[in-house]
Amino acid sequence: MSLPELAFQAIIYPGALFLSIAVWLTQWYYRKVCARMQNRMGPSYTGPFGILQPIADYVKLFFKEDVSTEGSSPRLSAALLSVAIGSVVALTLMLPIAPRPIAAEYDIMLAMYLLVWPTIALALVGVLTPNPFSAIGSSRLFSMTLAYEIAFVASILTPVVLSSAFYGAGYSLYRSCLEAWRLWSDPRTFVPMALSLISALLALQCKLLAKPFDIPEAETEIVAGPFTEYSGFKLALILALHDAEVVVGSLLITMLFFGGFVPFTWLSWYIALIITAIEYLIVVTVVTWIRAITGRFRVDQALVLFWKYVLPMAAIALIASVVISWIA
Amino acid sequence: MDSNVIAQVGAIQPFLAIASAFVLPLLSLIVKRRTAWESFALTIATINFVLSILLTYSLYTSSTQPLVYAFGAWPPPVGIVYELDRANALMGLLITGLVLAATVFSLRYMEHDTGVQYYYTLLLGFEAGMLGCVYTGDAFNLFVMLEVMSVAAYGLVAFRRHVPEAVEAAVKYAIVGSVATTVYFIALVFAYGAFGTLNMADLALKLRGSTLPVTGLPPGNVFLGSAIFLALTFWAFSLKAAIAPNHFWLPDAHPAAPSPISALLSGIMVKVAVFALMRYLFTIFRGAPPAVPIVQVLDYALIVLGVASATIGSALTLLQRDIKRLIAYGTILNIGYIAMGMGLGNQSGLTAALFHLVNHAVGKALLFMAAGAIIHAAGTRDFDELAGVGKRMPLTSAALLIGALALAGAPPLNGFMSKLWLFMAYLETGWLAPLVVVIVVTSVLGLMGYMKVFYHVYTRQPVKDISSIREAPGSMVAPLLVLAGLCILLGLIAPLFVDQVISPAVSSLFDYQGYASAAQSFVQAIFRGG
Amino acid sequence: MVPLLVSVLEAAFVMALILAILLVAYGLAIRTTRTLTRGSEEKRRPFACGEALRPTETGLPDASMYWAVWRKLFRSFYNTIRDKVHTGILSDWLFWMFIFLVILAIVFVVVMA
Repeated sequence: MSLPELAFQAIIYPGALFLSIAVWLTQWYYRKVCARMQNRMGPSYTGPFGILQPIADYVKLFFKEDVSTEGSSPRLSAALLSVAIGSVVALTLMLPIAPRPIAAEYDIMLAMYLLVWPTIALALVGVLTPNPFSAIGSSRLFSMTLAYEIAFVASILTPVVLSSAFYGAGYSLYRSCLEAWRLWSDPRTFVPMALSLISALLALQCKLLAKPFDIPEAETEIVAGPFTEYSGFKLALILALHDAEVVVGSLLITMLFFGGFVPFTWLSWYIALIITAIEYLIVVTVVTWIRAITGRFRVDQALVLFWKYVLPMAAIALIASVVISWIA
Repeated sequence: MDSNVIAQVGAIQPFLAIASAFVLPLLSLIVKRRTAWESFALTIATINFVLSILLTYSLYTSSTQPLVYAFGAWPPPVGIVYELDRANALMGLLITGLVLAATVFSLRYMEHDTGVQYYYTLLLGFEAGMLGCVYTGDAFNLFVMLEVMSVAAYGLVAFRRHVPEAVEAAVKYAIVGSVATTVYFIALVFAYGAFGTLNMADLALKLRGSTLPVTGLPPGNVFLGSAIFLALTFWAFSLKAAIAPNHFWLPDAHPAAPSPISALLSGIMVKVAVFALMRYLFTIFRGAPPAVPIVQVLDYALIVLGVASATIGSALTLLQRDIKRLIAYGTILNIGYIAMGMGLGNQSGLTAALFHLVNHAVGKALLFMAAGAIIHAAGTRDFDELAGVGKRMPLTSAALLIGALALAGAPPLNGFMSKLWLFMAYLETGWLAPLVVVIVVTSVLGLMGYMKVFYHVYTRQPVKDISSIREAPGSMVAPLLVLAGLCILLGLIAPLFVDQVISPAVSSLFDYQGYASAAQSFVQAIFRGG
Repeated sequence: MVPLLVSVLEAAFVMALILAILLVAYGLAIRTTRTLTRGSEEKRRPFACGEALRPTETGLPDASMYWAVWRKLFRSFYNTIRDKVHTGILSDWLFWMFIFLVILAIVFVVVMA
């Protein structure tokens, strides 16, 4: 893939511009649905049905002053956050929605590396400011990372391992997305896929720091956790990173477990895209639903939940998939 | 160069080190200047390193058979021989390289200590013992060199004799280590009684029915003798290598030593014991009919104990408040990985183990020396007191970060590559694949521990006034930067390195025929009058 | 498919591109908001719990960081392994090592039989 093609994909589609539009619409949906579930109005005034609200938030942050306290490293934080957003964009380029995706044999390892980067960046960004609240928030984020990150990676690995064994995907994320939807029809692989889907959704809930797992930024306890001392453009970067994670995490689950538009290529392209959008919105709705109806866990309750229930489920799914792929 | 000269190049290294170790105190009586002693030790370490490079280069490029050097030209098994093959040469290169780095680091690190001439004496004796252990081709000579290495290590751990913790740790280590070498001596007694010889090549031949020209057939029961020998040797070397449950001495001894010595102890001394186990289990005893069931039991034992070591090391590394103790528990974790690789018993397992051995040696030495630079600047080992010191020492913090990431297994550094090899070796075996979960979970816990080091040293806000702290002096930073560059380089060229350097060493470890026939042809050459 | 190294380089290029764009945007934002700032030393001080903190007071002690949660979760495991097994007492260590030797001896007797 030549550099101009790569640059076009990184900036226009499915990179920065497409991701920004997706973030805008997903954020509006997220906030409106959550509000209506909680019997509130949600965004209403900016544009019809408040659809321009996320844009307004980002524009407001752009024009606010970016105060950096003494003893913090503003440029390092900005660089870390930008690299993290870059890694999210690179992950989007590995999915089938890109016209020429980044794909190679064994590139699932690259995908796992890119998945972990945003969380590490958020935790490091919190540590770099001299505030006890941000230190506690970052340390909570680190302890949760070690719980859900293994579960998430294991649940993403299960369809990849199975589709590499059955359909020759070569441990590539792109090729697994093209084939993994077929695994639902095979009775041998149905159970590992179901288990890994459930654990992936729970781990995604934790990765997106959505209730009941928004422990690091628990407002009533530690002001804003790692993001306490940030304002202006860097806070906009943090929110952009967080929202982009919502979009790309849900898109990854849609593409990998449900296939996105791939099973429907025999229909015309706009119907396939609408079906993809519906699947994506279902995943986002599940996340929003759980977020709207639960309170917040304590950090040790969340860790126990992951280590006792979710991680064994993901580990059983992964080991079962490795064993099944050896037998077949 | 002809093979005789190359063999002499190898054999002279331990001799040079021990001779200079004896000369140095006498020199210190005549010349009272510290810089003279330091330059003497530095010269010897450099000469040994250069000789090692020559030896490794010629063994990897020209010779295909192991080289034999017989002391006093007595033929084996009557005399002591050094048998140098590619695995030996690689270990020798690692030893001399790390000793050189530690010596350069010690030049400024030990500036506040007195009695430094004895420090360098013990350091040179330590190097001599380690080189003798890896180069030797005789089981009893291995015992002797093991004792030399251990006694120097006990002395070095206790070097700061006014600190009670150091003396206590050294005494405990000495008692435990002496038990280990005594048990190995008992094993040698049984081996001699069963085989009639203690030469490694001769043992390899006698197990398979033939013999070296001078000796006769084994006088005792070979099956029983090799079983008892292997059992006791395995116990003794697992104690020197700190494989659980023989690891209790390590978290006390390694932090108490001065930092360059900790780097050597954790980085290369435990690896020498692992290498001796590799020599026995792979070259000499594997595939010989009397020893087959015992070797299989020992393989399973290595896997089980490796898992136990990894679990204990990773679980306890998180809780430490002392920076060096945290890093020492990390050594137990990584020795667990090496044991797990060795226990697989096949080519890919041993490749992963040997590669991880090299990577861990480099990374651990880097980490201990960087921690030493920070302790030297801050004057304390407790995390709550040396908080934020790294902010004033950017090069040292960068080296510490690279070392921590390398050992935690972050791509594209070398630790990740060797863990990946171990991972793939386990996936290939099929039924042992669930142990991969152990590797992943313990790696994550190890990552938590190493990130704790970096957090306290660099990103945390300082708790005292640190404006008087400056970057570590050049002679302390230089080895750190070299080792950090080596970590990055080994990670980037990992497939090439494994193919060109590790795989030949692994094949020479599996190749008992080459090992034995080199000794045989040497003896025949002597008898022909060559 | 292309080798993995090419994908890694492509991903790195994408990340570098986004980094460049966002740093340019950051510079723009700083320049735009420069007119809004009133230079003041007060707002650069760390502030928590209602009072300004000195920089040396803003850190947290080692015991309250994330490993404390881990330690609390696995408290019984750590009690066993740290206080009962890893005591500093030499005779305890020798006891465990002797148990290992005995197990090894039993295994070898079983193998040879």
